Amino acid sequence: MINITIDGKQIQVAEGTTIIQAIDQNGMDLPRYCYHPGLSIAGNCRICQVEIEKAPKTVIACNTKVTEGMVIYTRSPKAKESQQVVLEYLLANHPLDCPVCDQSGECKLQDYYMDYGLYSPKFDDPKVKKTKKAFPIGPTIMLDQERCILCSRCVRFCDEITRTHELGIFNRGNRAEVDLGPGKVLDNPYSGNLADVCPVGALTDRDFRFKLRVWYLGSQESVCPGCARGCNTYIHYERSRPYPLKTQRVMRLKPRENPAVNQWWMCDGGRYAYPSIDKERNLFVRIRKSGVLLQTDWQGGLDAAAKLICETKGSWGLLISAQLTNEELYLSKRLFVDFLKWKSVGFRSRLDFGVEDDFLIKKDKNPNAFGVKALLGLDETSIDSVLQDAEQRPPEGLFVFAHDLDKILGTQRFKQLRSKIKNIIFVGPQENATALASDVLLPSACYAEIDGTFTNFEGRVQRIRKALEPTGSARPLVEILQGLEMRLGERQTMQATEEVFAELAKQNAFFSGLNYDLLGHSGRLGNNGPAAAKGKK
Amino acid sequence: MSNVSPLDDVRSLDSEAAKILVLYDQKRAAVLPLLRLAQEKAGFVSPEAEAWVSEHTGVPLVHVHEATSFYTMFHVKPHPKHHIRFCCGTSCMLRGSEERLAYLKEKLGVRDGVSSDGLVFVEESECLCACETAPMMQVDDRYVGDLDSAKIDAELDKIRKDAS
Amino acid sequence: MTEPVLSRNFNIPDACMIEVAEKRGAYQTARRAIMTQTPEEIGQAVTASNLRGLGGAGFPTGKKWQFLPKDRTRPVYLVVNADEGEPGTFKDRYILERDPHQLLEGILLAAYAIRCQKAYVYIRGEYVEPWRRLQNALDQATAKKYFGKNIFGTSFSLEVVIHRGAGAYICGEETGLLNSLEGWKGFPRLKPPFPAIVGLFNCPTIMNNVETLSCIPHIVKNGPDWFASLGSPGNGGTHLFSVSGHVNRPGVYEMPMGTPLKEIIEKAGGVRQGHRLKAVIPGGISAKILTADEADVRMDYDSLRAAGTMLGSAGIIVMDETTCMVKALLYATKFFAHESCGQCSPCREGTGWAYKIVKRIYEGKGRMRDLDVLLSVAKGMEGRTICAFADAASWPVQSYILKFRAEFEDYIRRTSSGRD
Repeated sequence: MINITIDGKQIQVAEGTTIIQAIDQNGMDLPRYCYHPGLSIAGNCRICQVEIEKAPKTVIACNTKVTEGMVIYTRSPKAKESQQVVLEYLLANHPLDCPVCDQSGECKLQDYYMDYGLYSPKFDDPKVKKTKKAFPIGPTIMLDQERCILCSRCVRFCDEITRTHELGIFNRGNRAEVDLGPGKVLDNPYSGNLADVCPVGALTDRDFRFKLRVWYLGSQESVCPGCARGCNTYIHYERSRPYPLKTQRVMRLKPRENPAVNQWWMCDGGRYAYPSIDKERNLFVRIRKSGVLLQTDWQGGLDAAAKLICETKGSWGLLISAQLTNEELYLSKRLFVDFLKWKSVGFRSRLDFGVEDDFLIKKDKNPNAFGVKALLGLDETSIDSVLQDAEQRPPEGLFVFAHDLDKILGTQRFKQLRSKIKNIIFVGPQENATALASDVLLPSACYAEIDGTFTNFEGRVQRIRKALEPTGSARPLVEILQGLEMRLGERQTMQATEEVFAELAKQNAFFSGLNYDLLGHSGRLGNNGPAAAKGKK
Repeated sequence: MSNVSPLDDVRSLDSEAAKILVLYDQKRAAVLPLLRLAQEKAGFVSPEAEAWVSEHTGVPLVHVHEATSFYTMFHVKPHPKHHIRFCCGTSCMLRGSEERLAYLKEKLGVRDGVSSDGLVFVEESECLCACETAPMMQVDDRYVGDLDSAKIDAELDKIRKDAS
Repeated sequence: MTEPVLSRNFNIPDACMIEVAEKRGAYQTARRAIMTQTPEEIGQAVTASNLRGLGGAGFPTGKKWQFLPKDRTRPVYLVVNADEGEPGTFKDRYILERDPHQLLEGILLAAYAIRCQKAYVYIRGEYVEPWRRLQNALDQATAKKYFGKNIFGTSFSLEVVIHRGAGAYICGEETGLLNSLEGWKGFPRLKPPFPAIVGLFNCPTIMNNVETLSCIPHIVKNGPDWFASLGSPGNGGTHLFSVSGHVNRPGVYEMPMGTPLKEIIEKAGGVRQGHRLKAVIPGGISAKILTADEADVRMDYDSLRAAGTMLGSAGIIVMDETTCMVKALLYATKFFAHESCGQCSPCREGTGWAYKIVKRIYEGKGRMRDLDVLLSVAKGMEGRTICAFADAASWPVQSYILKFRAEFEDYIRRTSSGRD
């Protein structure tokens, strides 16, 4: 370990640490553009200047390794002057686009000017013009060459992370421009990360363009439910705009740093899937009366569901889903398997699977298949087998979580099945053909509207946190299931989600020892899961 | 200029490219010589040439194009047959390069660097490091110094003779 | 100085042909040294000779060679910097065109001394005739087995590849050259690590200038003490001074290190007839300018540093009283703005900004306050960039305005009605 002093604070860091890493590890600040912990060091923005005792010039912190006894100043007059001077160069040719730039409010030029600048600008010549302004370079990203500070983060991202080499910096001197390579389009599956990676408004998200000013956004930590990776995310929703947009609540998703899961990135499939939080949702509790689905209240809906289950003494087919949280799965098991003793349970459909790559995208497009296996002991039991059984020997009913049987079986087969089965109860957030063909439709809250946990493909248990109130009349599934339990069994009181987790951790060896505090913001590996077996934490 | 397609143009250079590649301990070092080879054949660096260089060196196309755009000696569009680099360095300026350049441009009817007959490109170049013969210019491969109107006329005659 | 050393073959016709060069002694020193001396002995001689890098930085050559790692897990490369581009400098071109075998012999000795088997010569793209002559000379020497395997019957082998640049001044910068040689844009690299540790293709690399290497056969032949004594303390040998501008006989003049500047100007025929000296740049366009009153300096690294400027590439540009300093600064700032690689922000923006202001002043739209803005734009770049290009770009701005401020102010007053 090496002992150094930064701004009077004595700290210890590992050998080989750079000054900027030492600063970041100890909760201190230093301005930076080209430095990104996930990318190679470029050292070209020159703003991370610090003063080192006994050195004649300020140095860049990103490329200077610490040595024993080094004394560093980030806010000395010499350091401040260097930072300010570099900032002025960067702003010299920068267009005054703030009023129309999406980056405004989360722009590092603005932020650093307020923190490290506040000088009287000297530049009053015509600014350099570049070739492309407001130019789409792919389906997800808009390029503005004039706003670009040529930090090369985007070029390095496409070279080092996706290895798709779409972007380069062409020409020389102050004629240099970021642009697509010949014949290229920015359409790799991680292109959305470029809007995050660009510290200014040169690369912006087309989906978010002109949508909302970022200071009206609220943020909540969550996990993407798009596949078994469980990339950590932030849900950004409209919070404080004086005239709310009302058409949608969630404005965008951003990746959240987790070195063990997704580093700093997320795929476009997950990033742009947020519309399903607000669109095509089941909004009302509905019961079928005389062949028509009618709106009713929760009392009526839960009573009707309980009644259907009670009246039929036999077991139903249970189509559970890997979209459910661990808490929801545990309660399902408690009610349907342990209490009602239903035997025919399945969760997998062929629609679960898609493409996989050697980076983040997993082929299982559900966030919690691991949870299903750990909590219900199901391996890959498909709903196809449950449905085949159901077609041959129709059960008393089908309890369906989220699945769209119309898509899985095909409309023809589904129609036939529907005619053979007396009762279908559907619970799920999204409206689909099965929901509309059911006898009781219970709208559940989606992942953005609840607390809970998912277990990713590696066995990492991660928390999702409630960002929004459930839409319409939707309710968290843990409440719906407990509501049924109360009507069907001996349960008298509702447990909060955290209590449910505590109970399942006591009962299940994989989750033993875990609790919400321990899971924290980055999750934890369960016991003897595949990653734990590899010796990871 | 050949009537051959740009792709066939560069493919015909494959064996020469192979000879160049063996000189370097890493393939990517051959980017500049291969770009030059392609440019000497076709008069400029075509998109096909860049793709060809990328293939031979393993360097992603975007980075080949970065090199083409960075160095002044590569042209990305069809280029006039003759290229004059007129030195606009300090030492040449001190010895009257501005007047000579004005004379040359007028004689050639230069607009946007190209002569009125389309045969010559005049580049206002940085110092060519031949200050002992200032004012000077480079006509294609040759340095021509101690310029006066007569010498400039003589060079332009040579070019015209070459054209016919 | 009695005998020319580096320039002894410059006026011999066909000295670039190996037969002529050998008759005048080429390759004899290399043959003897490689066959009878150790690499370390060559290195020690170079160190003792006080030879300093003649490309511009003046770093002691022997000391640079010692930075190579002792344990060799990877091959060592020698790279010859023949990317002469500093305005006012043309001495390397003379060597390449008029005595390429001198350079080649120096390459042989240097490669032997640092135990390297592969050398690249990076030659400026615009130098076509020099390239042809050097390639021709190399081919002739290779045919005589002075290059290739088992040179002079020893176990020493050396392959030399000549690599042409494509028009970028920044490729004369050590690590910019390395990146260009590796097929990238000529972006200089962050240092540390230095090329002696991580250089070409990630391997330890020594880069030396054409003239520096050309000195080595002479050092080895006549001994380091002789070489050191030719020059001034700490600055060994003779040097090829390029003299241009308002002199009667512009050209390359070989003089001992430490020769007074005025003597060199006289050698070049003195200031043009009927004119008098106004200013002189001692070391290529990057060097801070000297007024006529300041021109009593000795031309070596240490003396010029003490005088507040630098020897640099020893490109002496002489300006007489007809020179407009505003125009001179225009040319200097235009050069730096065009040649900035654009990698790091202070240089990319600063060089462009400085040129814009000077152009505006030159075209008659200047204001008095522009001069202080210009000074601060230039000063701001200094010491804050990846390489020394920005420092070099700042020095003309700082020195011309500092030393000729009255002329700048007068120009502004005259051309733009003294607007503030």
